[in-house]
Amino acid sequence: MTEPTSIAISTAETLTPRRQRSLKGMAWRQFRRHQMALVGSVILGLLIFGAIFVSVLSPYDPTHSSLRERRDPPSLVHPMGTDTLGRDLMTRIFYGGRISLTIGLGATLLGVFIGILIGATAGYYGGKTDEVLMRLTDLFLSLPRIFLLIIMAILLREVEVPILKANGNMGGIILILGLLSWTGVARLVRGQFLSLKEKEFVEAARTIGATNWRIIIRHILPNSATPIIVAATLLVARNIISESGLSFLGFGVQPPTPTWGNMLNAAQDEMRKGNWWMAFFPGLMIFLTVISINYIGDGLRDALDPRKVK
Amino acid sequence: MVNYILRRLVYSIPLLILISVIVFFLISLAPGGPMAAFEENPNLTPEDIVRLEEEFGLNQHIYVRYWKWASRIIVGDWGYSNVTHKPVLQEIGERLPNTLQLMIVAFTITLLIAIPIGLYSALHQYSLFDHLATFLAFVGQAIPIFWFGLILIIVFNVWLNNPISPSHGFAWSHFTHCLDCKPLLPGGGMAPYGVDNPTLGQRIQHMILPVTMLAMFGMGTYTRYMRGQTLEVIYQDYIRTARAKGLSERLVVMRHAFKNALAPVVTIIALDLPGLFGGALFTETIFSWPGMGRLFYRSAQRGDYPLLMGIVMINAVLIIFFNLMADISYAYLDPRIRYD
Repeated sequence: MTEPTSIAISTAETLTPRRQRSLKGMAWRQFRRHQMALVGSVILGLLIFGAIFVSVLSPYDPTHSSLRERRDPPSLVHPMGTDTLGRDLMTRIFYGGRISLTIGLGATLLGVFIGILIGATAGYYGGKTDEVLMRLTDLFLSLPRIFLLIIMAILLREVEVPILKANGNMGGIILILGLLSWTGVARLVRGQFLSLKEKEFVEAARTIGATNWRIIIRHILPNSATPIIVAATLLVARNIISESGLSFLGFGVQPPTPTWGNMLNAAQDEMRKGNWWMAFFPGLMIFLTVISINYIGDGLRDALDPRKVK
Repeated sequence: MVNYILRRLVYSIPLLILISVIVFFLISLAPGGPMAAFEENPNLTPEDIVRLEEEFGLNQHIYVRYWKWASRIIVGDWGYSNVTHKPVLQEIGERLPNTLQLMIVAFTITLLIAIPIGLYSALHQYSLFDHLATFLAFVGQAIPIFWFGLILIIVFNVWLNNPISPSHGFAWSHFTHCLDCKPLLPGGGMAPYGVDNPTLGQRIQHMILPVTMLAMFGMGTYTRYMRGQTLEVIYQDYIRTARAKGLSERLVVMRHAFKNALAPVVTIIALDLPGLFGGALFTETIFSWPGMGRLFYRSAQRGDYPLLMGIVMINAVLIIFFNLMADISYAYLDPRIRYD
């Protein structure tokens, strides 16, 4: 009596697959193999955590100045030193992180949205539409970006729309960065659409009477999600650099709202006097964020590429 | 080939026109616009302002104004700076050579470092050198160049000294501790303060830091790209054929692998050029380099719109010109292109 049962159990064991391999699961396994991407995720995670909880974690107020503690080098009390007004630099850096990360993310969302819209239209409809939209993309690619960003940022100062003005022009900066960061995604999406629209599943959808936009959004877009996700990830890093560059020149987010860029701007003169920490730490944050995001993007590219799964 | 170049030239005309339209309309949105300077002048009555507006043609429709502006641009009349009242073309012409000098030197150095490293990395894939180079390329890509510039100033201008002290002569310790030494490298300008005709040595000294900063731009990207492209070609059949027929490894790499890997790299580099102008803007601003980027920065601060417009247009022309050069070199490197 006992023997058959044990046999049944052992058969059941050999028959059930040892591990369910979903697409997500495989991607995650692959992503974990990419050590630098993991390190990047941890660093970025810590930065985001710090930016969110800085108001709870830090004993200092980001705008509170202290005459007695002006230009203090890094110490146990102020791990990253203080600035010209005696404000704690580390606290300001994490508050600045909120702004810088929000701008990077916001501008990327806007850029990806425009890019998908233009790329999908061009790739799906083809012909003259494609021609016109791709010429437009070429035009934007050959524009001197930072110069246009500066001109748009000056114009922005005169626009009296509260949502753009909030947080030292944060909304406005998101808008102009977004408007100038869609080209890469547009080209990519167009390429995907050009090849995918000939596939059988699109044919099938059309046969059952799906509208063009339904095919674009429900059928083709999800199938080209992988490269878009990778491109979007890398775009966040690019936008963070653009924002900090613009703020560094004084045309981006306006003080007293701190961002890594405008903290570097304020540090320019100080650094020539030898007060290195005011320039070193904000820039280090930009560097760490960007390199983390780039490694995560690299890891995602490997993880989401089915050819690389072993 | 001539045919190809001509065709590319014709393509670039509508591009230039479109860029000029965008820039013109953006700037005509500007607050105050060209009349701002006059409106603040207490000696002018509102009637005077209206009369001036008519004289300048500012009361006309924007399309008419664009047409007039564009037709003047073509004959070389680019207007006057709002601030210095000098002709825009003269202001730009005085700075353009400085910018080009900085860019060309920096860019040459970037390529001389990035391309051999990328090539060597790919030929020794997964070696220690390759791992190190790939890591450094990632670092290079992530460093904001304006921060890199500031670090260069801190280290080579603020911290380190010229070890030869006027009073105590040379000593190794003077690098870090010295009271009357000069900084190791100058941290701004093209020449020592007040010197009109700097010697070649002084000029080179003043170029080291800005060129280093600007050379950082694209270094990581081009290294990784060159590595990737070399890996693409190195396993091709024609490489095996070249080896099989007994060519030396040197010839296989230089004649077959290198040239084929280089062609796509040229394209990516040309696409990156607008960014290099941006990099020059940061470099010139940080190092007080009297070039076009710094002029743009100052004009943006002062709201000097005629100059802003002129600089963007010159940039666009240069970018299109360099893109054309890239296309030509691509056609040279990859003959298939010419027959399209």
